[in-house]
Parts: sequence; C-alpha cells; structure tokens
Amino acid sequence: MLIEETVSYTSDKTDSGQSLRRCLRTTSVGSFPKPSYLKKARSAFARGELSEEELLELTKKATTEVIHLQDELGIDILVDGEMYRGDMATYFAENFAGFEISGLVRSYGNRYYRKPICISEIKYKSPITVDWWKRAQKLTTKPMKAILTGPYTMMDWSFNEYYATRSEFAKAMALALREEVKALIDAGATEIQIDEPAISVRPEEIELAIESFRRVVKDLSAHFYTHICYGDFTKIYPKILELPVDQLDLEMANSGMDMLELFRKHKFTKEIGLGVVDSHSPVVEKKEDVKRRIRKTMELIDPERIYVDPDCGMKTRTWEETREKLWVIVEAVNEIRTELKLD
Amino acid sequence: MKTTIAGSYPKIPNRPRPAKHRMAVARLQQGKITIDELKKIENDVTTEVIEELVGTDLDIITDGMIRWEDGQTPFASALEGFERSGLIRYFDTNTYYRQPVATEKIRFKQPITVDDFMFAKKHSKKPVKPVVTGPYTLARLSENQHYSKFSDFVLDVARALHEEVSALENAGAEIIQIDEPAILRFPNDAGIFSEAIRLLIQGIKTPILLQTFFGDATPLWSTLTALPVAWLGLDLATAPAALKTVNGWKGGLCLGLLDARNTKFEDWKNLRPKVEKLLSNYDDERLMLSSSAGLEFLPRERAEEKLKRMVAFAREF
Repeated sequence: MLIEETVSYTSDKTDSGQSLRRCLRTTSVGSFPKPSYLKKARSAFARGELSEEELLELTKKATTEVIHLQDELGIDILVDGEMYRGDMATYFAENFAGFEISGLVRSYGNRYYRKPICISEIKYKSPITVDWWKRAQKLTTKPMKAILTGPYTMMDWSFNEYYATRSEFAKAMALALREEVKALIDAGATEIQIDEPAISVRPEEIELAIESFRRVVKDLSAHFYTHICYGDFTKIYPKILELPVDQLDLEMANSGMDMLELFRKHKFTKEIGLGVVDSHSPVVEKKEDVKRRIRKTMELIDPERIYVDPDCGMKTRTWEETREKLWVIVEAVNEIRTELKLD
Repeated sequence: MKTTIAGSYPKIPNRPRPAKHRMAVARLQQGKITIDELKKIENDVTTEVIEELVGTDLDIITDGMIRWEDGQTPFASALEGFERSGLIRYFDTNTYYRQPVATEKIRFKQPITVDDFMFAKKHSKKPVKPVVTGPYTLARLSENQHYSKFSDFVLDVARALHEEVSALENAGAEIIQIDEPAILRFPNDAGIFSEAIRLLIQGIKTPILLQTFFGDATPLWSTLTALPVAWLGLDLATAPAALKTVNGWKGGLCLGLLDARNTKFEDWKNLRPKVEKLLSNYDDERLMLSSSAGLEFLPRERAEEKLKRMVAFAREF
C-alpha cells in the first residue's frame, strides 16, 4: 500500500522536541546486514516459492529492526538499512526504463552480482525509494537519510549497449536520478545521500563525474551527502571539493587516516562523513582508537562539520558486529562530547 | 588468422545451469567440504570450461583460470617472499584482488601453474595457452615492504617467474602469454620493464605473447617492439585508435577486438575494413584475433556467444 502523506521532521529538533546535537553527529553510510530470515525469504522469492507480499512484510520487519537498533544506540541521523535492495547499482537500474539486468559476474573472491545493462534511453518511470523512505521516517523521530546511487557510479558500474559515450550515459542517468531526488524532497526528505563510490577510480573523468552530479542537484534544496570509497583519493583531491554537496563521506579508517595529510596541505571545505570503523573487517575497533581518529580529525575540521560513521555500508558484517561497531562509535563520540563539553 | 581468448573465462554459468564452483567455494568456507574436494570440483569445472571453449572453435584456448582468485594471488602465494593483504581495486574495473605484500626477497620455490597446464592440455583438443602475470605487473600491483628500490623488486620477481616460464616450456607449452597491463599506466618505467621482460624470457624458445590491456599500448610501441617476443597483444576495445599505429613490427599482433568489459556484441562488419587494412601489412599468420582482456567481467553465456561471433568473423578471411 502506498503511503501518500508527506513525512518530515524539523531540521533542528526531533518530533519529540529533543534538539539534534550540533557537534559530532553520528550516522551510517547506508546498508545493514540482512537478517537470515530475510536472506532466506529473498532466495525463496527468487525461486518463486514466496509471494511478493510475504517478502514485503519480512522486509518491513527487518527495516523496523534496523531503525530500532539505531534509535536504541542513540545514532543521530538514521538510515533504513536498504533491506529491500540487492546491489546498489542494480536496484536502481531495475527501476529506471532503459536497463536490463545481466547474468552473474564476479566482483571478488566468491562474490557475484547481476550487473545492469543499458540497452535503450534511460528514463525515469516513477518514484523508486520514496515509499521506503516515508515508511522508515515514520518509525523514528530522528532524521532519516534518503540514499541513492549517483549518476557517474551508475554509468561506471553498468554495461553500456546504447549510449555512444560514457559522458552521454552519465548525463542521461543524471537527469533520471534528478526526478527521484525531486520526489524525495517533495515527500519531505531533507537529508539526501547520493553515493559515488566509483568517482575516484578514473581521475581523468572527475570533471564528468562532477558535471553529472551537478545535473542531479542543481537548484534543489536539501542537505546533500555523497559517499566515496575504494579508490585513490589523492588523485581527485582537492578537485573533489567542487562536487556540489554539503558533505563528503569518506572511508578514513580503511585508508589509515592518510587523507588528513592531504587536508593539511589543502583545506577541507565541506562537512566530513568520518568513517572511523572498518566495514570490511569483523574485528571491532577499540573505543580509544576511534576516539583518537575523531580527535585527530578535529585538529583540522570543526566538530560541527564532522559526522561520525562507519567506513562504508555494513551489509557484509553480521548483525552483532554491526551493533558493536556502531556502539563503539556512539560511546567514543559521547565521551569526547563530555570531555570537551560540546553541544 | 587464428583466434584465442586473452585469459580468464567466467567461473559460473547462469540459471538453469548450476553454479558448481560458487557453491563449492561457499561450502568450503562453511567447512562442509575439504580443500581436496574443492580441487576436484575445480577440475570438473575446468574440464567443462575447456569443452565450452573448444566448442566455440577458438584455435588456442586457456583453461579459463577457474582456479585463480585473481591474477596476482596464484603467483604471489606460491613464490617465496610474499604475504597477502587486503582487497584492493583491480585497475579501473569494479573488481577487487588481494594485494600481495613483499616482505622478504622474492624467490621461486616450485612450479605454480604447470600442473594446471598439464591438466588442461590433457583435456583439450585445441592447444592450450598458459598465462603468467608478468613481473612488472605483479610487482606494481603489490605493496613493497622489503626492497629499497622498486627496480630491484621487479627484477627479482622476473628472475623468479623465469623459472615458471621455463617450467611451462618444459611441460610442452606451444605459446605462453605474459600479462603486463600495468606498464600502460607507468610508461616512464619502460626501461625497467624491458629489463624485466628480457630476464623473464631469457633462453626461452617457446613463442611469447606479451599481453597488454586496459589502456593504449602505442605510446610504448618502440619499447614493446624492441622486445624479443613473438606476439604483442593489444586491447583495441579500450584504445581502438591504436590500430592505426601498429605497423612496422616484424612479429605477430594479437588484436583484442572483442570487448571483454561490455556485453555489447562487436560490430564485426564495421571492423572488417580495419582488419583488411592490417592484412596489407601483416600476413594472416602474424595476426590473431582475441578478447581485449580476460572474460571474467562478462556473464558466462555472453562471453561464449561473443567468442563464437569472433571466430565466425575470423573464418571469413
């Protein structure tokens, strides 16, 4: 059933009247591990042994659990955990006109995914994530981030059988994604993350990536984030500061905090999403290490502009590892806030 | 004009065919089968892949590298001096490999791919081309914690892999492919690259196919054509314009015209005049058609169909 009404929270206060913290806000990058009952249900659905309605109910249940977990831990800006998504590019490709989905291809080790194939002109059909966002926002008084995959990454992570150039492909993708962003804003979303993990892979295409992103958000009003990971950040910095977003979310734990050296040479001018725990390792970080990472970043960036989160999506971790890693983040932030008397 | 595949082949087919390899690796990870049982399944899958490749009518096949987790791991884990580190992106693809770390002097211990080659040779009606990741690329894609100079690292890897190339020659390989994509990203290393390749194939009589991919090889053309190799492999899907500038080489050209990274079928009709033009400079025994890189970036069925169409095109000449 569609939920038609607009859902919103006030940007400085939650619905319960509690003020959002000003410094060192905590958040997550996007995905959470799918509970085993949901994994089984998705497999059963793929085999035709489970109805769409049954899968939807279980997906809603898992989404509720993800949101309650974040609320219990005291996270400031929540995510819905992407329980309804498989791969981050394929999920969107399935919902735009112009794509079909390939057979399985391997990304590493024993991990495979179905890659989008662009076979005709890309067009926006109807809202993709808006119902999920509304559903999730209703479950919490905290702001709920809406999360999309950006135009450059969608292009780079798809096969292209239609467009003559990568540039044409990315720009067409941008126009289609823009409609989804508008639909989210109309529904009341104020925190919108548009992920571009592929952006650092081909430094020679950074202009194209920035221009495509600009087409998505131009003249639209929201608090925009982007998440970037797994690439050579040194080759796109400081150019990446031209990306029209408020916040760059970066994998600082996995990169050994090397990026801070870059920021010393060239001032970091945006908010930072500070990934302080490694999403790809089962080892739970020590609180003191996380505190040290935050404090080191605070030497260069004001705490009002630091949002603390994991390195990347948590879908490859277990539920317990995810809970523990997020707990370490919250505890580390709370201790620093107390020690420094931060708002 | 002969045809070949430039390395890997997708490990699993799509439904309804069973994903035997993927299921076996998952069961190994869950502790439900032993490593020996996995190896048996890898042999079965390799045999199937060989049959599939022979079925496409390629003239020279590979064993599909079914056993390889990535291009670096089989060599780094078998040579002395390497450890394994975290996952890292493989060039500009959306795939990842375990980064080797050189922690001690690199030395050859024992043959790495020879048993696999012998197995493939036994099960194939067509000649099998073994593939070795070249010394420059293996060193460049690794982290170096041991050598004070990168060039010393590259040359030690070359010395170690020379033993592997010799072992493959002794095992009866008719052609050996050396993968060197990384040099295209670091053309200023042409000197040390050349030295490493010469060390690698010193005294080797078997024809060597030096395979480049993921970039334009023509800026390095004078370096590549000065090397004592029989064949040069070019990625013409990434750098189609390179076709215009590859004359003046006395060896063989392996034309990577089949795009290994896109599902779109090649427009062979449109490519025909370009190949015909090349034939005015190279006789057909010095031209070979191939994929632009290994085919693991594609779904299995599309890889197979693309190869069939390439072979059909080659048979027109």
